[in-house]
Amino acid sequence: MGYKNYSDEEEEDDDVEEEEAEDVEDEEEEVEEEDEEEEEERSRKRKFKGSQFIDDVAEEDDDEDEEEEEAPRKRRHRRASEFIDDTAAVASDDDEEEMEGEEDFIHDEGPDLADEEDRGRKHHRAMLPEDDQQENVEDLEKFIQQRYGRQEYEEFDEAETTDVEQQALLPSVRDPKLWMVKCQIGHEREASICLMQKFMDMDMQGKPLLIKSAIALDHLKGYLYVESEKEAYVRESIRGMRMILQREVKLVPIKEMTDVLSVEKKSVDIDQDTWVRVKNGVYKGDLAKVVDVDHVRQRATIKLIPRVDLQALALKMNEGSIKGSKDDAKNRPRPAPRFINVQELQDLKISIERKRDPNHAGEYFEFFGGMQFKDGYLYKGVSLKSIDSNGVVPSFDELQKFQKPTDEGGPDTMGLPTALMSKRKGLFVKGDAVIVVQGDLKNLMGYVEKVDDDDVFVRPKDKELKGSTLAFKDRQLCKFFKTGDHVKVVAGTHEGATGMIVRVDLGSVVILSDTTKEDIKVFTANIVESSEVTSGLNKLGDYELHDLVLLDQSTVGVIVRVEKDSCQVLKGTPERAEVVTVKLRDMRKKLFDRNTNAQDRDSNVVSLKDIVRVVEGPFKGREGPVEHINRGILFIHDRHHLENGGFLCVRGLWCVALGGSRNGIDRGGRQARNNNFNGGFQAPANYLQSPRRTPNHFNHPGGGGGHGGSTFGGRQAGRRRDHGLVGTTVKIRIGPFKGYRGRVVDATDIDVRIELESQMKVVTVRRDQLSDPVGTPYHNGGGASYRESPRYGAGSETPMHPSRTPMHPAFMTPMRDPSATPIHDGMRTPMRDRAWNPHTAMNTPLRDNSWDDANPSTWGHSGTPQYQPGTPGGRQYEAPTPGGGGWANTPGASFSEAGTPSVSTGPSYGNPASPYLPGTPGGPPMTPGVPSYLPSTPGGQPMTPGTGGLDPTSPASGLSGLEIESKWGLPEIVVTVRKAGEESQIGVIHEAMPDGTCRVAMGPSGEGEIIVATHSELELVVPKKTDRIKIVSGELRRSTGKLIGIDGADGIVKMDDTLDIKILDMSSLGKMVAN
Amino acid sequence: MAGKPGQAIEEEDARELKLGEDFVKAKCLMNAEVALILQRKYEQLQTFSEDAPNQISQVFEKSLQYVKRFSHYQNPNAVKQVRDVLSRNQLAEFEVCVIGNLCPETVEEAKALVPSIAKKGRMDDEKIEQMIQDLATIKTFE
Amino acid sequence: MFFHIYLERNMQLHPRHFGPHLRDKLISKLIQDVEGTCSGRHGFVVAVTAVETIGQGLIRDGTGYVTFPMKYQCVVFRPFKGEILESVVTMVNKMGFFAEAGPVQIFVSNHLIPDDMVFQSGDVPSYETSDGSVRIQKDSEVRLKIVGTRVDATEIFCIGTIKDDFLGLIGNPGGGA
Repeated sequence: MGYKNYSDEEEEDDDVEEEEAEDVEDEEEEVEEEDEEEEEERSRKRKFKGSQFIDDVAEEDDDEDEEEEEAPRKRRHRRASEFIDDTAAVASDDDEEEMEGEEDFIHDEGPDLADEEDRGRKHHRAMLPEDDQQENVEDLEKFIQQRYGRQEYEEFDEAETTDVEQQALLPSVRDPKLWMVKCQIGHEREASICLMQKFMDMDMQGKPLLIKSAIALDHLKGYLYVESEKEAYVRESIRGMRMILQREVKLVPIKEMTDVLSVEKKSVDIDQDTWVRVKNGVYKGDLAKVVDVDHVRQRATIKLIPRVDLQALALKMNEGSIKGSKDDAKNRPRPAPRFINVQELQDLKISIERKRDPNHAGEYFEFFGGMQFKDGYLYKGVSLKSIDSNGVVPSFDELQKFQKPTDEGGPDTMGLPTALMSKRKGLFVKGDAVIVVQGDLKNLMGYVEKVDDDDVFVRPKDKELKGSTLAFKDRQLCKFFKTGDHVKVVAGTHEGATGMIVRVDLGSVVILSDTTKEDIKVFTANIVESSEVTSGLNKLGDYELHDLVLLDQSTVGVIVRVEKDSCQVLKGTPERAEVVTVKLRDMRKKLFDRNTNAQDRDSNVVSLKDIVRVVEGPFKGREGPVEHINRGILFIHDRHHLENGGFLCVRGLWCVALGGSRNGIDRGGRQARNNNFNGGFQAPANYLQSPRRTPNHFNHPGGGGGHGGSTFGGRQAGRRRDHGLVGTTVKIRIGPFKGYRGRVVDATDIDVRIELESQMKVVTVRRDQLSDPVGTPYHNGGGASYRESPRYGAGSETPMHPSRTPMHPAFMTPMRDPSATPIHDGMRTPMRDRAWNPHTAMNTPLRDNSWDDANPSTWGHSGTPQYQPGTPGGRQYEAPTPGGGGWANTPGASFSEAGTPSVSTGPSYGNPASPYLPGTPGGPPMTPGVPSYLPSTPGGQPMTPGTGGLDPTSPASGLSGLEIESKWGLPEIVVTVRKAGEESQIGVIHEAMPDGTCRVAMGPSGEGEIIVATHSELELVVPKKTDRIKIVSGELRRSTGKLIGIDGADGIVKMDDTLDIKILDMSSLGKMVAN
Repeated sequence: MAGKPGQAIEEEDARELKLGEDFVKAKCLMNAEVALILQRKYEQLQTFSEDAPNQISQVFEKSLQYVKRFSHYQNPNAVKQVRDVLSRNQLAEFEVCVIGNLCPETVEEAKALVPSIAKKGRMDDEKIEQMIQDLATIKTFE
Repeated sequence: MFFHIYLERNMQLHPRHFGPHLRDKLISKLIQDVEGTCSGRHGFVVAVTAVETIGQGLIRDGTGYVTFPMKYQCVVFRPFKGEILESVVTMVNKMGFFAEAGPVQIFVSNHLIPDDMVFQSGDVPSYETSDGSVRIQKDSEVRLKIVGTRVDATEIFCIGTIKDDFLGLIGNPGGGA
């Protein structure tokens, strides 16, 4: 089919073929290679050249159908050979309609193109009527072929279409022409004004000049443009004008007309006292001040700090050798700017001429070496072109240098700010205090009332002038500030900084920066009064002031100051305050403190914004809120600390948490908590040591047990480092380091950093990428992530031990359990339950006791305060307040808290009502055989500040205490019953039921009705001095005694049976009903 | 700059007794008086509160230290007398306290420290002199 | 300057505190909340001396908290521009020295120290007159005038001057002026 078509085409194309012969030859190589295609190729070429549009289209279609593989070659070929073809091909790809349009358009434009082919066609097309669109297509075709067959299509510049509108505006032949007229240099403007005058005059006389406009351009010296239809008109208009040379009238080509009037970047007016920079020469870049401007001659006299090599000059002058000096000048280094000292000149025997300069009000100047000096400054006449006034804002230093040391307070001091000000419109704002610095009213003070375009209206402060408003130019005014004003810098290098003014000079002030407590010198023009407090720059890249950044793998720091391209970072080295300047690129990344906590000296949780006091180390005595925490290091902001933006870096262990209204309250509880923690933490470790011989491993569970349910237990878990794993050898399971073994150098519960055995390098690997021993995920239910870490530790030590799973009974030794239970609170799964069963069976009767009706209350209680730091808001009030408030934390009260859902949301051991808890095998420690129990009892109790006794003694007691939190009820104890929806009432426990409820006789002495209440509905009534008490928790549970004194959270109890005096936590004491 | 209508809000200046509306009628306290108040409160806290050191804010502590160091009269009676003497002269609260705190020794000093007392002939030098002497006497017999 | 002023504050209290000791609770919470705070308007609240009235509580919708308007009397310390007071120097550096007057910190810039006093570095940095007769160092007592105050959320910071008559050193740590 293709061939058929092809042959048809060939016939049509025969006549053209000859013309295209050379082209064909070019392609001979290919032709040889591909005989079959050769012909077609050829024909294609011909056709394109022949510009037979219709045929092209047909063929293009065919081509595509039949020779797809051929296509690339052809295209390349065409492109290489002729641009025209390409265009044609593109055109032929278009649909029929467009083709028509194209043809129409060419047709339309035909006549016009005849004489103006070089002009944009589209442009003309737009202007021409398109009424003959419907003309016969075939006629058109012929017409086009005849007339434009050879027309090259290059002119169809695609870009042209977009410029259509612009082009429509451009001058055409029909518009008036622009004529260039020569005139005297420097009189261009004058001439154009004269022309305008003449035009108007003549117009008045009724014989108008036939010119449209006259333009003088600043950048074009000696010429003037006149717009007019004819040269004659121009000549007519300029006749008789002195400054215009009559002979020279030149036509500006239409193309260039636009250039004549294109606007250059607007140049800033150079005026007297303007600050400029020299654009070239020895003084390139130097700051100069304009002394005098001649706008007509485009020259200015500027004042500079001379860069004169006096030695060389002296040499030159004395020797008189001028030759070769130019080369010398080029090779010589640029002399430093220095004021000229007459004395020095004389020493060097440079002859100075001193005379008046008529140009400068007859002032005396020193002349030497062809240069003009005054007061040490060089006065130099320069062309306005060679100086740059655009955006010249001299820095303070520059200005200070420019100030000759001797003429302090001279007129220039005044000039500085005013010169700067003149450029800044809108500088003054209503209400600004200003002082007049120029004119008759100099030193008048007032307030800006209103600001106009040019004028600033000032209401004078002076009483005599009060009521009147005076208008000033803004350059006549200077902002007025007093020492002590708090201002903000709004421009210049210190932009954004705020501070208080400590010194006021005329035109500039010294500010004590708010953040850095450093002096900043700024111009009054650049400051505004402001109560805002900022530090100036506080952002660099993505980093902001006071951000915690990672400097290298192990170093972190807080940005204490931001500079232009670097930051000052206080490194996280608590031993000494170390500040380094760090470039942006050297900062690894910004660290966010997410739920980070640390521990203070007393092992309290310290979280962000907590206020801590430093009690050790170099910053002892400092205090402030914690701004960042990183690996146990705290960054504290003490606003009384004057260095490093007030930031301190200390170890968490050097601090004690205290604080404002938030934590100041619950010190008793906190103390107790500490004890719990300590007890819990240390104890299990000790006692697990023997059976497990891997104290490391249990450290954590132990800790968790100890403070199970406390904030450390769960909250912090995510960030906790797992030191149990550190030092062990692990294998990487997947990832780029698959199969590698290495030693763990650091571990969190997400990542582990491993020093590879085979390579000298440390890599960070996700935990789940580690092979089994370490990586076994623990899917045993809602446990806090914390739980995982210790397990990992465990795993790594005895990798093969299958019993790591909690359900393994073998593991459920009594010892293990106590430590594990608190952490596992969340998972009272049946399995768990089962696991416990063997346990309970092991309980001695005694233990049973302790389970059944033992005093979990204390634990319920002790848990509560522990939550407090973690539970947002709301709970603080219940804490003991000074004075009587201490009793707010009656065990009962807290206990009831413990039962509320809000608490159980915590990661803790949760619901006191849980039926499983009573079974918690805290039993062993309860055996009376352990004498050290006595002191340990209060250990469990939050209200006891000093129950250190627990720590060294039986770890388990701490644990047991933690676990037993319900069923503290004992007969004869007075309690407050709070049933939901009822008022609380006083009652006396009649009987503690084994199922965790109590039968309570209502009424203060138990004479009322008996109700059944759960422990969560009961609160102990806090005994008063001399009350009879019964101990509800600890190993002295059930013992009775008499409260003989109260010391804070401790009660001093005289035991009934032994007559010993014991100090017990108040919360473990239940008031006994009076007999 | 917003909210700074320039002169609309009169700038505070203690030397001209411009203290702002909150304080212009407030009762000023001399350091000696503050010392008595704070000391009493401090002792109360010590007695009744189990953890007094933690109860005391930094502000309180610093204030107490400061007023103890800078009160010229320790005796409560003397403090009362000082106030009586100063009040007799129709001085403003603030002026009373400044003088009570700084105890100027000469008329010039008094006028320099409390420029407002000499204004508009409120007190002539003689009166100031008399007042200063009275204060000195109290101090001596304290 | 210390003042004894009346202030008001709305205290929110959790219902669990309601009971016979409600008033005590409120007062102790008020003390907790306000003592030691600082505001630009009233200065540092040093001590609450008395509670004048406790208004009727208003239950806040949705929370159960109750708001009690409380009017109380307290001792405040409020520095004023232009005020002259005595202070203790806490730190001396080349920029000037810091002094404390009660809770407020005052910086005296070297621009605001008489020109005849020069900074002397060393173990005990100080500002000294050339003849050594006047020496301001840490723990010196200095009478100064406040020229500027800056208030931020938690403190008032002042700038002071000793460049005026009857200002300057009044006592040195070792005793003697």
